[in-house]
Amino acid sequence: MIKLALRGIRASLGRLVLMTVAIVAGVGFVSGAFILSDSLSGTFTNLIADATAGTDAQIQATEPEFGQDPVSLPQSLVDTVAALPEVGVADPAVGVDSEQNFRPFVILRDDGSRVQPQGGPVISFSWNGDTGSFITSAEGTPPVGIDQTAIDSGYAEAAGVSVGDQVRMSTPGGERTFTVSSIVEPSVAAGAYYVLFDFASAQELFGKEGQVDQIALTRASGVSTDDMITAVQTVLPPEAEVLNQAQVVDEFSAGFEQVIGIFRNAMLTFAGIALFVSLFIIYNTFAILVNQRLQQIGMLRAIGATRAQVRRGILVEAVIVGVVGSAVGIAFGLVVAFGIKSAFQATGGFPETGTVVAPRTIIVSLLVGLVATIVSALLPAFLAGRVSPIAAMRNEAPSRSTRTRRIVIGSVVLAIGLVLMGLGLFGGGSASSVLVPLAFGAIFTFVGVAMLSVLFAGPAVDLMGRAPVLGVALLGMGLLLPVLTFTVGKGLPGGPFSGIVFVIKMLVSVVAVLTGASILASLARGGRTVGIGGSGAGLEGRLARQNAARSPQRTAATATALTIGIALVATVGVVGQSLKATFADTLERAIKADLFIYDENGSPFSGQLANQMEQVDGIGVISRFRANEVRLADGDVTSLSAFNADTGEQLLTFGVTEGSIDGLTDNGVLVFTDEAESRGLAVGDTLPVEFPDGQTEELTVSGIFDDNSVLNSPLLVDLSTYERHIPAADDFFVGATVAEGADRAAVQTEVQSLADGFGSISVQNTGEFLDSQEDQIDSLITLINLLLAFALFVAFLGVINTIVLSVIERTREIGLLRAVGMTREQTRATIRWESVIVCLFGAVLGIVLGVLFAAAAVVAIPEGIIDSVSIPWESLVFAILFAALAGVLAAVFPARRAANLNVLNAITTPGT
Amino acid sequence: MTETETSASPLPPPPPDALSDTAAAQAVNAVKIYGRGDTEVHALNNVSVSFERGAFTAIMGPSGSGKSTLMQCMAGLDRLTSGATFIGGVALSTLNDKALTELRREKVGFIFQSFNLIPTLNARENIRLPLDLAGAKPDKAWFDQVVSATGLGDRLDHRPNELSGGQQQRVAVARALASRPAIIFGDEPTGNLDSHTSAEILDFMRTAVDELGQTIVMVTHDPRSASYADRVLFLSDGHIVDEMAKPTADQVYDRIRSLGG
Repeated sequence: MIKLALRGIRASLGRLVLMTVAIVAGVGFVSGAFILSDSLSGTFTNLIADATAGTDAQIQATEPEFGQDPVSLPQSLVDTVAALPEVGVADPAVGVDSEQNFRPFVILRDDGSRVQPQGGPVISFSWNGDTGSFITSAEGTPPVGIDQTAIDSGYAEAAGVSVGDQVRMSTPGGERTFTVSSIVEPSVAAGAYYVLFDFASAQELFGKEGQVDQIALTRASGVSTDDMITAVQTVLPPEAEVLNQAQVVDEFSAGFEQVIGIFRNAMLTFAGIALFVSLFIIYNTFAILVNQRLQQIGMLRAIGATRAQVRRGILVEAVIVGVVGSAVGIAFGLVVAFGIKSAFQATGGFPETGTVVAPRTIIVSLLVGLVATIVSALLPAFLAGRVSPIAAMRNEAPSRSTRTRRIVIGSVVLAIGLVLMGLGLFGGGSASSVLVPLAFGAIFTFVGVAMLSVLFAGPAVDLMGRAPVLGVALLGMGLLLPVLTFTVGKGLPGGPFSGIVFVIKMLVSVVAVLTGASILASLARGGRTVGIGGSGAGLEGRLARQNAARSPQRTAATATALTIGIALVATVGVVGQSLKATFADTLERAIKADLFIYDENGSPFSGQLANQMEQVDGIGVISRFRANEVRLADGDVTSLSAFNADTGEQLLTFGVTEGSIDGLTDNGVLVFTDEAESRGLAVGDTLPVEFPDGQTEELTVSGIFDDNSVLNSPLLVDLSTYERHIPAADDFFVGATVAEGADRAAVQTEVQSLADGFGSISVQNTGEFLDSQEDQIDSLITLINLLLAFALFVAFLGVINTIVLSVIERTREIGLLRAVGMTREQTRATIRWESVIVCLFGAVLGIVLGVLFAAAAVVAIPEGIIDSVSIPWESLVFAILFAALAGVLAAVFPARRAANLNVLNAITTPGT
Repeated sequence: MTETETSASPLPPPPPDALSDTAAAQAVNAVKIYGRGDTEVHALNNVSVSFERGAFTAIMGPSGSGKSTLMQCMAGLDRLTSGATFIGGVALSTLNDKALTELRREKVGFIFQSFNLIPTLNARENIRLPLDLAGAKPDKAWFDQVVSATGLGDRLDHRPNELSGGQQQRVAVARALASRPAIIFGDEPTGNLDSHTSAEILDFMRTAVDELGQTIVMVTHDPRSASYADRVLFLSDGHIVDEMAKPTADQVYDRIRSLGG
C-alpha cells in the first residue's frame, strides 16, 4: 500500500503540491515565530552574557516596590566588599534614573535646540574605559574628569561631532560644556543613544555623590564564586542583593523574553489561523481524491485489500504531504524570520542576530504540520475504508449519502459553538473567561456553519450565478467602492501600504464595473455573446451555475476556506471600525483645545516649549500636562496627572459630576468616578497621597470626574501640587486654544517652528489630532490584515485546487460539450464563472459570519472601549469584489486545462 | 442505492450433505432484495447453483436478470438477503468484513470489464498487487508461469496507459490468477474489447482452465464469449431458467433470443 500511496502521490502531484503549500504557510509561521524569537532571545542573552563576561557577580539594590527607581547604595559598600579576602576586584557604577530625570544629558545645538534623533532615549551612566564587552570599541581616550564625555557613534553622527569637539549639553544642574574624549560603539544600541562619564564625574553630574547603583565583582584567585557570594552576603545591607553572572543574565533576559513572548504568541496565532484554513483545504482535497478513486478503491477491496489497508493508504499519502509540507514550511519559516528581522534592522538599532533553529522548532513544526494533515485526512480515509468492493464494477460515482449525517453533526457543532459564544458573552468574569469560550465558540460555529452550508450552498450559488444578479451586483459594488472610498473612507489615508491598497481598490473597482457592465450588455444582446474576460452570460454561465449548485457539498467545502479568511478580515474590520468610532466619539467630546503639542515618541519634552508658546501672539490659554506614579495609603500604586487647573477646563472635558474643578488649586484632587466608588471617596474627603519624593500629602477630594479618555489617570491635581514633589520641568502634553479672531493656521505654524527646536514634537489642530489618533488604530488593522492575507492566500490555493479537481472529474462532460461545439474560450468562461460564483459565495458567507463574530466581540468588550457596532462598508465591499477577482485568477490554470483537453480522449475516459 | 441486509435467514440453512465436495463455489436458496416496499426489487429469487472445480462457466441473461448480482454475492462482494453462498466449503455469511476480505484475497480472483488496473503501477506490479496486499511471498514458479502466459514479454515494465486494451485485460487476468485462487469471477471481461482481442482474452482464460487447472465464472452478454465456456447458465428475473453444456455460439444465441435478451 505504501508503494501505491507513493505512486498515487506522483500521479496527482499537482494537487498534492497545492495541499503542501497550504501546510507550508501555517507551518512556516510556526517555525518562523520560533526561529525569530529564539534568535532574538539568544542574541540578547549572548550580549548580556558578553557584557558581564569579565565579572563573576554583581551587587545591586533590590527591586523597588513602587514607581521609583532603585535606591542607590552607599559608596562605602564598595570598600567594605573590596576588603573581603574572597573578592578580587569591586568595580562600582552609577547611572541616571531614567524615569525621574528624563533625558537630562542631551546635546544642545548652537541655537539651543536639543539633539534628539528619532528612535530612542539618550541614556547616561558611568564608564571606566573597558572595551570588549558592552562597549565593543572606542575611538579616542576614555573620559577623565567632569569636563569630558564619551558618546556613541550614532549620537555623534546625529549631533555632527567628533573626538576632540566641544559640546554643550543640558544636565539636571543646568547647561554644561564637555569635550568629547571618545566615541564608542555599544554592542546593543537597541534604538538608544549613550552619553558616558567617568565614575566620579558621573556621581557628581547625576547628583549621586557617595552613592553607587551597582558593583561588579571579580573573585579572588582560588576562591569559588559561590564562596565569594556567601562572604559578600554577610556584609550586604538589606536594600542590596548579590547575583551571580548567570542570574544577572537571566534577570536581564527575562524582560526581553516577555516582549519576545508576546510577539511570538501573536505570530503563532496567525499560524493557527492559516493552519485552520489549511485543514479545510486538505480535508476537501482528500475527500475529492477518495471520491475520484472510488472505482480503484473498490477494485482493491475486491481483490483483497482490507479496510485498514485502504485507510492506511490514504493516511500514508497524508503523512507524506504533511512531512514534505512541514519540511518546506520550516525552510519558509527561515525566510519569514529573516524577512521580519530585516524589517526590524532597517528601522535601526536592532542588534545583528544569528539564526537559531532549535530542535524544538523543528519538532514542533513537523508535529504541527503532520497532525494537521493527518487530522484533515482522517474522515476521508475512514470513508475510503467504507467504499464497497462493488464500486469496482460501477461506472458512475454514487452520490455520497452522508448528507443527513452531515447536517445532524453540523447542527450539533453549531449549537456547541453558539452555546460557547453565549457563555463567553454573558457568563461574565475575567478577560480570559470571556475570550477563551468566545474564540472556541467561533471555531465551532465556523465548522458547524461550514457543514451546514451544504443546505443553502446550492440555492445560494444558483441565485448568485444568475447573470442579471451577478451583473448588477458587480456593476453596483464596483461603482459603490470608489464612492465609499472617497466619502466614508478618507480617500488616500496615511499609514503603511495605503498607496498600494488604494491602487488595488481602484483597479478592482474598474474591473468589477467593466465585467458587470459587459455581462448586462451581453444579456441585453440576447445573452449569447461572451463579454469581457468571457463573462459567460449565456450558456456558459448557466452551465457554471449548475455545476456549482450540483455538488453543494464541494462548493461549500471550497468556499469554507475562503469564508474563514474573509470572516476574520471582516471581524477585524468591524471591531477595528467600532473601536475607531467609539474612540473618535469620546475623544471628540473630550477635547476643546485648538492645538495639541506632544512628542511623537510619547516622551516628555522640555517645559521651555510651553513657556515660549505663551509669548506667541494669538495663543489663548495653555495648560501643561504631566503624569507620574504615586502611592495611596493602602499601598496601591496608581497614576496621577497634573495640569493647570485654571485653564484646563477650557482645553479638555473632564466630566465633573460632583464638586468642582475649582478646589484643585487649594490642594485638591479630582477622583475618577470608578476609583471614587471603589475607595468610597466623596467630595470633601481627605486622600493621603505619597509622591515619588517620599513625602505624603493630604489632598482634599474637590470633585468626581467621569471622562478619562485623554488623561488616563484616576487622580488629577493642579500643577502646583505636582511641582512641589516632582520638580522636573518636562511636559508630556501641552494643550492650547487660539484666541478669538487670530489666524489659526498662522498660530499653528509659529508654534510648530518653536517646537522644531525641541526634537520630534508634533503640533496638531483638532482635526489632525483626531486623525493621527485614528491612524494608529488604522495601522494596527492594516498590520493584522496583512498577516491575515496569509490565510487568504491559503484559501485562494484551496479554490484553485477544487476547481482543478472539478475539471478532472468532469473530463468526459467537458469533452462532450467541446465535441458538440463549445469553443475553447467558452469552456474557459464556464470554469471561470463557476470559480467566481464559489468565491463570491465564500466571501458573502464570510462577511455575514465575520460581522456576527464582531458584534459578539463588541458586546464582550467593555463599553468604555467600544460602545457600538460600526460597519466598515468600504472594506466589506472591497472584500467581496476582491474575492470575485481572486475567483477569476484561481480559474486561470484550471480553465486552460479544461480548454486544452483532447476532445476524443476526454469522451472515452472511462467512468469518473 | 439503498440495500436491506438481514443476517437472519428466513429459510433454514441447507443440510451439509447438500454441499458438493467438488464445487469451488456454491449458492443455496440465494435471495437478494434491493430496496423496500414499493421499490422492492428481487434481484435473486431463490437461486441454488454450484460451480465445479476446473470448469469454465458462463452466466448469461438479459439486463436486470440478476446475473451480476449472483456473481457479486457468490464472490463475497455483496451479501445476500437470505440463503447462503459458499466458497471452498466456507459459508460467506458467517464471515465478518475482515475475514471476508481475506477470503477474497486468498480464494477469489476478479476480472473487471473496465480492466481496473492501477494506472500508476506497471504491468508486473499490477499482477503482483493481490500478493502485495496479502503481504505474501509469491510462488515464484507459479508467478513466472502466469506472467509468461500473458505473453506480454518485455512490456511487463510498461504502465497500463502504454498497453493496448487487450494487453491491459491480459494483465488483469494474470492479476486474478496470481494468487492461485479457488475461483475467478469475470464481470463482462471482454465487454470493452473488439472481437479479435476478445478472442485473445477468452483463449487466455480457456488456457488458464485447461492448463493451469483454474475455475472461472464469467458474466457475459455475448454468445460468442459464452461458447468458450464448458457450461452456460441462463438467468431471467432472478431465476436460473436453463443451462447448457459445451455450447456453441449459435445455440447460445438462439436460447438468449428466446429469453428476450
